Amino acid sequence: MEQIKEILEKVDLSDIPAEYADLRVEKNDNSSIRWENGHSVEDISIKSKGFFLRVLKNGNWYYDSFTDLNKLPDKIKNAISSLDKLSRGNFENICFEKDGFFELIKFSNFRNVNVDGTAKRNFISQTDKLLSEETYLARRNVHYRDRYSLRGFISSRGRKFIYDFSSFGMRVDYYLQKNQEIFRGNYNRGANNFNQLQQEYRNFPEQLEKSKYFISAPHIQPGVYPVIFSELAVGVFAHESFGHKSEADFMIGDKAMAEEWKMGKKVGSDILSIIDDGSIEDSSGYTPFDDEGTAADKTYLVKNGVLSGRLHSVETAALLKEKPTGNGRAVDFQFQPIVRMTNTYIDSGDETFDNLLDQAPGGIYIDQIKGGTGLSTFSIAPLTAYTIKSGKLSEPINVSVVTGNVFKTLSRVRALSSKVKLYFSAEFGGCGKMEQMPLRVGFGGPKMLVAEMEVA
Amino acid sequence: MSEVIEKTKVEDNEISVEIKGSKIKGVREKAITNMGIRVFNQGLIGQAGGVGEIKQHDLIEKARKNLSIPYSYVFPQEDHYKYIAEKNLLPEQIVALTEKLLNSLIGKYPDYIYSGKISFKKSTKSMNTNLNLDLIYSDYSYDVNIMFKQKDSINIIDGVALFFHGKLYDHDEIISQTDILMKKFSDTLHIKSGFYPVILLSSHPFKAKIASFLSADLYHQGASLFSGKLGQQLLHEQFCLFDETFDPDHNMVRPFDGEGVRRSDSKLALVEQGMLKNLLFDLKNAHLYNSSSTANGSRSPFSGVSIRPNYLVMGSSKKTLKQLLSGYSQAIFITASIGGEITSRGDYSFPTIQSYLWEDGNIVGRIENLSVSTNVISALGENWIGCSSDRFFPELPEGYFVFKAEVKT
Repeated sequence: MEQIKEILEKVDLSDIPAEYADLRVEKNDNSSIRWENGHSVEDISIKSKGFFLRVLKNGNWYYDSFTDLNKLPDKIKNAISSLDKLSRGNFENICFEKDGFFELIKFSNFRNVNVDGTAKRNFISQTDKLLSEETYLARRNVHYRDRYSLRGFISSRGRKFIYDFSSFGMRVDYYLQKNQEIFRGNYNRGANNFNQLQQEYRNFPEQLEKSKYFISAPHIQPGVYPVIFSELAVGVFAHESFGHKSEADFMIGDKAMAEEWKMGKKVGSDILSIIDDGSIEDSSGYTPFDDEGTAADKTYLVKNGVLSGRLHSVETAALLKEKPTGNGRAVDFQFQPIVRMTNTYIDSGDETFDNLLDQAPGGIYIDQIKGGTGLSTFSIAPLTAYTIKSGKLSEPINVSVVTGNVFKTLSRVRALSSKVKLYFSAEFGGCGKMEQMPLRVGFGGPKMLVAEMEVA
Repeated sequence: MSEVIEKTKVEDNEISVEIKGSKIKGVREKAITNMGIRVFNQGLIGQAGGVGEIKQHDLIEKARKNLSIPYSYVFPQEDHYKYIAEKNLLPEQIVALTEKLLNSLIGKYPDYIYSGKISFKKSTKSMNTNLNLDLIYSDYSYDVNIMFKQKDSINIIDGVALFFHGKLYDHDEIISQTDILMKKFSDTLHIKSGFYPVILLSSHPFKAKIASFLSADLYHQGASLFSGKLGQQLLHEQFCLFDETFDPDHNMVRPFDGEGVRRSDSKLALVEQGMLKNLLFDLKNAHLYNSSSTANGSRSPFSGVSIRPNYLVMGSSKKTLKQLLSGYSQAIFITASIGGEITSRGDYSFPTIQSYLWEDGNIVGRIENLSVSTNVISALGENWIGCSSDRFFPELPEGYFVFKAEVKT
């Protein structure tokens, strides 16, 4: 940390001949261990340090990603020279954060696990052993990663910050084989400390046990069904269905979108509230300051079915004449900040899971998932799903994709359970937008019943 | 054997221009070096890696202290290889290309908003050891990815306006893509759900799934749908699939793998006339299953080895797209789709973003809200129509991929 502090004290951008400039400093300690079928095939620690310079002049941006700080004066000269050759751009009147030095170092104790590898290797070994004892196992892969990261920032307006985060994750992939049929399962969990990651694996034996029933499960008859999402699936749904649509950079210079996204518009059922919040420490979307120096905020995107907010960088906030929300984020020092989510989740309702099942006869329950994507149409690929009969989970069923139009689906949310669970998506998974992936984010929610969805 | 030290270095340089709201938003330069060290000693491998200004000596010491990965195979001892494709550009040159492309797009189709990126990338990968292994290749490419949306659309994007990946940047040829991608976008049509020929610009998900079935470790562990079926006819009798390591004219340059292995023949037949011919091997699995590495030991400077294809290419038919579809009056031409995962059994469903109705060799209008359901094995088997001889742009490795599938509106 001292090294980054020294850099922030040494660098002075206040005299730069441009409207604005900032420099991000990033230092990471990563480790990665992978076992295949009980043997180590990857065991590495990686150190990285890099810088990202951003300069605004004549309404245009110049960005430069590099690793040698001694080159900063040359980088600044190149930036000014390149920007002087461009015709005037439209990024003006941006209200950048000013002044203040903030220091938030909270996770340095958790980095000890990077030093002593015994605990993590034991954890991998225990998980591998559990898999090896599974009757139908054909292949297994256990992949563990951890990271301790320091992020520093200095701007020409006098804004400075330094903060840290830690991130731990493990992903297990397994192939079960019986009578020429194969089921490929996975279990992917994260945490911001090692003990918590181990806790997240308490339910893995149960999932592994359930998996064997999917080897020969029938495929769903494609059609429209009532669908109940698990907390994990609802998190991906919140992220893919509405989170991305709330990112304000999609609305810039676009009258149709601005009209469609007027605050106060009814966009979902009355029970639906969707929130983005980067201030939650115990999460993988923890972003106390975004990569432009804006402090984290809790933003209601939808409150009781009504459009209530959107996610901003300083740039989109200026262009749409709204407040920045602390969502200007970059994956790492190789990229510029763009509007991204932090922790996005659907707020709780007041139903029990049993009540949801009672309301979904002939429906499908989406339990574990492989992933999801979304724009105006979203799709979620379930890993495990069940039919619902007589108010109970019934048969395991193979589902390739659950898909729908975002707004139609939001208006069809019928019921929510009472407990929210937030998932980590960082070391494995994460969010992708354009070229920038994977960004660490969090997502979650309660269990959720949607009256009708396309299932195939 | 005494200690062997292996160094892998990847240097990436990039200039890119970002487009937002039909205007240039900014210019970015990037110069990043990743370095990975592996130390082989007493049957164990130690690894360490770093990004940026990291001392090689420190990484070697770290790797020496981290000997933990067992190995019992023989790795390449002596080899020299060099391939350098050289080109340098300045940021203002990429800006000029972008301005010209944007002006052409706006001039041709003014009722749309454009966003995306144009970039020029150079990547150099080297690998050397103290056993006289000295391998290097360097390649460059232009990448164009521009999306569009109608000005009155409430979607984030409506489709792909242009895409290109290659060395021969030709403005007129790239802009001519809009005739396929955008010309009929505003003419909306409706079709009935049913079983149609489907045309895709890229067969990537299908090829990748088949290749995963042919990974030697999965195959021999019984985790592949093709386990035990090598030499059998499982796919359409005209379907061929190759793993390619070196075809610079079609942007496929990976002359050595992550273990320093080079293949004598750049093209490896995986499937020929529908018959499974070969598996993909790295050094460890080649040793384990009494075979030879096929130069498919994939590894970044920071990872362990995994079996992965280099570049997968479908064998092209002698027929053009129009000839392939000569017996069909209608087909669905999909130029952009989203999501969908292929299940363990090969079932695959995906919604489309941008799709058109093709009638008698012409795109006649756009069809909204389609989803396609198929199975990878049947799409490359009984429902296979072909891979055309003509390509969306000349530097693409293969032609249009055509198969029959359930299409739902």
